[in-house]
Amino acid sequence: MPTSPPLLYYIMKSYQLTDNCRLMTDDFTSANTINSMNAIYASLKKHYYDNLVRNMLFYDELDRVLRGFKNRGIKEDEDEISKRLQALGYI
Amino acid sequence: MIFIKNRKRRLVIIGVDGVPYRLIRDLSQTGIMPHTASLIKQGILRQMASSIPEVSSVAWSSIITGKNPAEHGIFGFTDLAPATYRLSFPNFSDLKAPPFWYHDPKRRSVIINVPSTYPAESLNGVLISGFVALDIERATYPKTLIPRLMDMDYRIDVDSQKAHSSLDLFLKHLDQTLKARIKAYRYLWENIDWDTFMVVFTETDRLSHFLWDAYEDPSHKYHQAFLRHFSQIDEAIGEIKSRTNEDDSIILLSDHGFERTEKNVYISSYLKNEGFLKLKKPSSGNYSDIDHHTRAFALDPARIYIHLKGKYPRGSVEKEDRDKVICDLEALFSSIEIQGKKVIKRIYRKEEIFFGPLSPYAPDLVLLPHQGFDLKAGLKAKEPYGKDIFTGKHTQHDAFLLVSDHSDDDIMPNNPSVFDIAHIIGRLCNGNTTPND
Repeated sequence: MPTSPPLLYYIMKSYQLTDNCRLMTDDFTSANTINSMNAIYASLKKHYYDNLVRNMLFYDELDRVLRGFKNRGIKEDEDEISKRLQALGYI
Repeated sequence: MIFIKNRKRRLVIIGVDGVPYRLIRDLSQTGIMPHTASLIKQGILRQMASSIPEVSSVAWSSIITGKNPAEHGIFGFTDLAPATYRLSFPNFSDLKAPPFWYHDPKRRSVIINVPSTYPAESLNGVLISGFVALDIERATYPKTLIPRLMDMDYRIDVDSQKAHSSLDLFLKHLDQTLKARIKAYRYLWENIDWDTFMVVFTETDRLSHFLWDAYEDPSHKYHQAFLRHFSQIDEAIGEIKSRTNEDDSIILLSDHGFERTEKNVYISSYLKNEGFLKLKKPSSGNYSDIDHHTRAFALDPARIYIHLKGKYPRGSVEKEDRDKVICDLEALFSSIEIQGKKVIKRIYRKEEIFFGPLSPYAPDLVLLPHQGFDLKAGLKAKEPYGKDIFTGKHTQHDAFLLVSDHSDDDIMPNNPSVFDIAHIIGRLCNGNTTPND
């Protein structure tokens, strides 16, 4: 995950995600449950909104964290999405 | 002494996906939509500009956030994952600006079937996601509502695939979906103590894609079926109106308009013919086949991206050459004619329409077509234009907005756009503007 440790520390400290801290700093693939990832994701997303315009650098980096979480969370059935969009001529 | 409980003002938002200003006005005047006609008499109806591009994911994301795509991050139904050629499908998790129901956490909201709100996220109230939601379990918050929705035979969307084999079957499914949606709204209206209630009927868009010709042609086999569906929508609007109190405000709106499709125009075909787009396999429909000689490529519906060095793995256009490529593309697109008709009405540069921190992810150009031309990326298309089953297509200029509230004379902008809605919602709820205003 291409994120800097100080950023992760800042996020963890802000949200007191001490239990989940290990999850973020360790190997992502060893995540205990989808639920705990979703909990972190929700907290990060709130933080993301709060800092949207204030700090562009932070914003870019957090975007990568969020995308990482999303990608490692529940995998959407992209074939099915694609089929439904095609059925309406959207793609 | 009489004590009056200090209640928050209630707001009802009814969305009808893809219904043009022209149609709502005409069907109201001709008696097909009498309840809507009565709402129009009581309020202000205006033509409204949609987002650019005029697709539901971008338009509804703009409506619920009041933000530009370069602020909320939804530029279309598809995107390329950053620094790759992998097609991705942005969803509610990718929305980078908060929807209006998070502006005042004390207000309880019921949100039903707003496109691009999947997967459902927690809120003070209830949310049932709209298109493209795949799984009712992940489309519903709170989850305790799921058994009730199952009992109602709730359907997230019409199975549009049915229209490709049988329009009769499609219309039957359309009807069932609308009925289930109405059941769900009734249940939530009666069982939740809400402050904001929003329901979007997306069946109107589905019907118009396949049967816009039936609307325009009174002798068409399905003309009456088309009108009957809008009559049912009107019944639902009337029923909702009859349930409101005097102090409640109502917003009725669409996200984009519709018109007849004459021809599909495949942008990638022109890009390939003029040497802007090179694929490793010429007939490939896969973006991962974009070759390093490519200078520009298109994503649906008509978003053009310059193949910049450093931005894409095989990007070849130097930053200082970007403007030259853009000028060449503008010359190409403004010259396209099919059977003597100009195809492109307007070419927007990124800098003209996208404002916000996410503008680096925005398309470099967006094309808007003349009447009747439906623009598609069409990576796989062999011919520059063609025709398929769809008889209706989205339009950008003629969505509509109706606000029933007269207490604030300035509430309705003279030329409203989808970006004004969250601001109007804030004013109607408690006189506040959106947080960043």
